[in-house]
Amino acid sequence: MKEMNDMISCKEMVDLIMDYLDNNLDDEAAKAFDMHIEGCEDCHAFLNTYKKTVSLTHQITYEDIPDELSKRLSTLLKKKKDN
Amino acid sequence: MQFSAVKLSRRLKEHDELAYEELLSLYSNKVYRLALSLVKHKEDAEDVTQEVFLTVCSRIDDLKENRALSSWIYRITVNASLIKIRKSGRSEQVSFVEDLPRFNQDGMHARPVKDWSENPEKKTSSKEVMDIIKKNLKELPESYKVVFLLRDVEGLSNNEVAEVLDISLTAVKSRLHRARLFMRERLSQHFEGGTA
Repeated sequence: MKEMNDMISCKEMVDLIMDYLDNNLDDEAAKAFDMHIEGCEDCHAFLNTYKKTVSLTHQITYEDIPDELSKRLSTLLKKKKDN
Repeated sequence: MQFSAVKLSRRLKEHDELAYEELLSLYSNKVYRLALSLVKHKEDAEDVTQEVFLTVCSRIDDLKENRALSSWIYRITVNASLIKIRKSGRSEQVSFVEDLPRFNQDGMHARPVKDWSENPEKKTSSKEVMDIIKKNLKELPESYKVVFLLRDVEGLSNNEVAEVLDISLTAVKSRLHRARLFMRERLSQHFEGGTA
């Protein structure tokens, strides 16, 4: 019977990538993942670009709430509390 | 659940005036940003934000002691945003199957994968990269976009996202992974001219 690290394909590597990054793989699966990455240039590049995608997404910001809306909310909630 | 959040929920239930101010100070930006990222238009995001806080105040007694205030507020925000999108008729059902990685019958990558992860900002400014991500986010189906925004932009944990959306942890992980694969592919198209 083949060891798991002999069996993992590129598709399986992609399926496991999130659990790998979250440290949710058991030891055997993590070892198979690492061995595949070491021997597969495409998957090495895929892992790096997946991680980069996540880190770039973390940097996204949306603008703050407009001051005028902030003031309006404060007044509205005060009125609601008083009613 | 944080002690301060539990305390704030109790004070809101007691109609403590300062608690309302604290609620706005802690959550108004978070609610507005999440609404804006979902509904896309500022006016709609403002309407949603106002509706969220009015709902929170009028229904605070419905919040159970063991439920996190933040998850409850995120949930109200997501629901209000999705209703707004549907009412506006701007809801888009997009298929993104073609933007997922492709493999041959042996499970190997169908095309060579280029590694653009080293300093992509050298080629494209950070602002431009952010704009690319935001633009592509708009193309994700809503059920994937919400998970992606809550997890990777707002920084909630997988469990928190599951609680906010009332879906299983498995569903969160599956949608998040597909959304990330879609975004990776779109960034690859930008940085490497179409290879994945």
